[in-house]
Amino acid sequence: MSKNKELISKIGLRLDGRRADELRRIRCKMGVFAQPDGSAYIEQGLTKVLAAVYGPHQVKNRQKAQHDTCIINTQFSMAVFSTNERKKRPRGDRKSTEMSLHLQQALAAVIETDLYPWSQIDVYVEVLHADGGIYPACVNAATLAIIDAGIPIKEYVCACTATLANNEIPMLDISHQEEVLGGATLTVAALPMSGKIVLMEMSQRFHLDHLPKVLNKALEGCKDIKVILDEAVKNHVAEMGSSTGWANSRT
Amino acid sequence: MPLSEAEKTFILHGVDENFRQDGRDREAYRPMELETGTVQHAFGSAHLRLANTDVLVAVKLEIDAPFPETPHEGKLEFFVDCSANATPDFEGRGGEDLAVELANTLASAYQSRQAFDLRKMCILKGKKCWKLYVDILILECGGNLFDATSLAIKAALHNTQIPKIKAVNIDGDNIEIEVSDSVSDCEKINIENAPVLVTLCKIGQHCIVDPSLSEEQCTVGSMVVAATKNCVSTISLLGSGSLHQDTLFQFLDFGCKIANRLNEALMETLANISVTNENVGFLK
Amino acid sequence: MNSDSDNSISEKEVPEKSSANLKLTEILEKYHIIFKKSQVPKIKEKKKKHTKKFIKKYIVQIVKNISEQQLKRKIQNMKTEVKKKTDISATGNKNIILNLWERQLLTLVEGKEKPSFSKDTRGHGTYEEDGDLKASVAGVKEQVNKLISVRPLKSRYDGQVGEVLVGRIMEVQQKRWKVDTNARLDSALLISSVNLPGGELRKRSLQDQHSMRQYLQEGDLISAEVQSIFVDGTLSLHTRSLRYGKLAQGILVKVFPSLIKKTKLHYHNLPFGVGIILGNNGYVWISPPVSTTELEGNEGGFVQNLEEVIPRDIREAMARVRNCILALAQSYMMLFNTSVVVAYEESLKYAVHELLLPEVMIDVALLTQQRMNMMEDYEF
Repeated sequence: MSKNKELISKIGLRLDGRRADELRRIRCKMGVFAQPDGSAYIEQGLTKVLAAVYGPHQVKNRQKAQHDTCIINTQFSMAVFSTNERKKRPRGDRKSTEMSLHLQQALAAVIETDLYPWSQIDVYVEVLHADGGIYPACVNAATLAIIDAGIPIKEYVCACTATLANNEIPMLDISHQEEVLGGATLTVAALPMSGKIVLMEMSQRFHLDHLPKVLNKALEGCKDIKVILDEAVKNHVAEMGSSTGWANSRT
Repeated sequence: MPLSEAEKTFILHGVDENFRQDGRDREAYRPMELETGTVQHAFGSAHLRLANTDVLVAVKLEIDAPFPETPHEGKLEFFVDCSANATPDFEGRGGEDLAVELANTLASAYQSRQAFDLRKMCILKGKKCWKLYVDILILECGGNLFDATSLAIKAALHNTQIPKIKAVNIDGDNIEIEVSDSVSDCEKINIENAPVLVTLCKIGQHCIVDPSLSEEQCTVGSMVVAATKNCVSTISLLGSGSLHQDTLFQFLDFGCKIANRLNEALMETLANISVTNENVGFLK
Repeated sequence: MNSDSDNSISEKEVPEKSSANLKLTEILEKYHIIFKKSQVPKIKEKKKKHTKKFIKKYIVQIVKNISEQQLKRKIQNMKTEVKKKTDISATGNKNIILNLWERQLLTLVEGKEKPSFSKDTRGHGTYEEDGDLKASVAGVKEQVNKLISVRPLKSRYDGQVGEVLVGRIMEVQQKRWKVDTNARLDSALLISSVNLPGGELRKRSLQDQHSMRQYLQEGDLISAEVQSIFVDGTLSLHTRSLRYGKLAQGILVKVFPSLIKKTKLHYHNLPFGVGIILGNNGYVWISPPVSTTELEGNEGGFVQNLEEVIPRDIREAMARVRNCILALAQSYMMLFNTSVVVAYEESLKYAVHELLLPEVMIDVALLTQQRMNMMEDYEF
């Protein structure tokens, strides 16, 4: 664990100058593309993700259609140039399949699927630049894209990573560099308003005693992210609404 | 999605009239937006938007051993990925056919030495050379992928900076190459002659460029021409249609003319782009 | 909770009376329990407490003394006034224009709590949790009496009976055509709900079922009306009117459905020789002008004239309309008769193909918006 010590300096700064409980800068935009029903782009630090949502639409494979809910179909894919070492394949490997499943799991928890019997919603995420915290960025981007598509959800689903630095301080939103240097990374996808956890994943061996505080940190991170996303959604809606005159031009 | 007969007739008559659905004439392109340096960690990159077609190209470099048959030359590899973001049809392996076709066309267009000189990419004859990975990501499909991709590639190569080699240490079979760390100490790639692809579509008796998605459905035959400064480096016919020999030559002239015009416009844009160098990416 | 959204709306000047009312409603929202009609002792007590608090606040904010009796009457008056205005049976399907204070139109966002009035009914885009009504989509809140719904700004087409739409035949099945209408499920056009050549009362034989492809085949565009909605949400269409049927030559433009303003008429012959159908599902059909006489002799609307060459000037006007509609849609402007005409007029200073340039598109949209704002009777 000696490597771990260097993650936070004596004055409490991390390798990239953040404090332990600070997120990287998040910038996002909804409605990036015209053809999908909903789309979004998010930047969390250097991690960049594009998400597109198609649907709800008729199920393509009729046998799979459900009479009471809709199918959520996800695909995770990484651009071959997204990592420092060039990837061989953009998708189809085990990691991507796992990511797709996890993404579906998180989204299925919030989408009001019972409103759309016999339908299907496609969610595609494309990682353009991977710099740690890929899964959280994908979840957050997918959430925005789903909101952009006007699909009803119970609440935001946000995801965040956390780890333990110097064996005592919980640390938020891990960058790639820290991921490599540090120990276990805890990835959490949560519903920040009700405080429910929809997905939790641990990357390494980790002492149970530390779990509560790291988990709490991650949940706090989810809440912070929710605030940022909420702001972005509001701005987007206001911008759209103001030109149409839906929201505030009736006198 | 198929078009109805009446819609096809309307498009056909429009092409006859030299006035297409969106007001363009037969030779006109839709407006494009180009941005370079979008992918920060690549050696060079470009993002091109042609109406609804969205292409992101990144160039990565690696040191590799040259092929034994071309010891003087570097390597160039094209990889196309049709993202499912573009259309649900590309999900899984759905986009692979198109991707392979596109990559092969590009590879053959860049094969000729007159088009793109790989000898500059050689570091040590027969032992070490640069390998250029040109990765193309299709993010949205609005027709005319070939043209958009080739322009984006050209812009990305223009944007690419190859680090200078500081020293080569040869110790028996062991070759060590020291690459300069400094950002300013880089070489640019000469893309003056790099080919531009032009897709020509035959609708009725006429030939159009830059077809939209619905126009692509009305074509009786289409052809891709890769041209550089009046030289043609690749010709390939697309799809199922057929063309008469006479029409083919006529199209070829037309294609070269358009390619030259495109090339000029691109080079001019690229010359100006380096001055401002402001990145907005997808946030705009 | 509502204060932030209220601020954004209330910049405009309002007459004195309504501004007082506005303030009142603002305070009321905090003490909505007053509206409760419940006689449960616990709630009754709470009601009393809140009323007292409310009066205190009222005096502070409006600087006017008021007794409990007066207040009750005032609220009652306001309630009836709003009720009168929004009463469906009295106003029919007329567009209701509400004052600022009357309007509880808020831009609400995901899961935000709403002022829970006593007996709110759950509408579209909302869900209930722990007795609170929450928004599940980002959009505009609409309230009709006690039904609260949130309409997303952008979504798939959510059809309603009687709406006009444009669709494309996807599949020919037994007794029905499957139509793509941008809804979440493919819509159905039953053979029993089309007018076959030979008059309205014609019997539909097995022969007709076998030759369905003669009338409409895959790829064909139709205009139709929503006849009913099946239990699973599939829209059932009909074309049993001369206005509806197969569409001939023209251009289809797709925008999102919420941009189409719902009006009585969705068929327009624009003054510059272009006919448009603004389908409620976001599909807009641009065609040469439709003459009404031509429709009369039509054989159930299944005949197209593929020989006809549309003259250049009409073609130009159509292309211009297409580009204008796209320009408006890109700036999220509502599409209806007037806005399209205005955009067309504003765009005349540009050549048709110039309208594809992003900056020109924005310019046209801006100019249109200015002109629309200037029009006095302009209302959404």
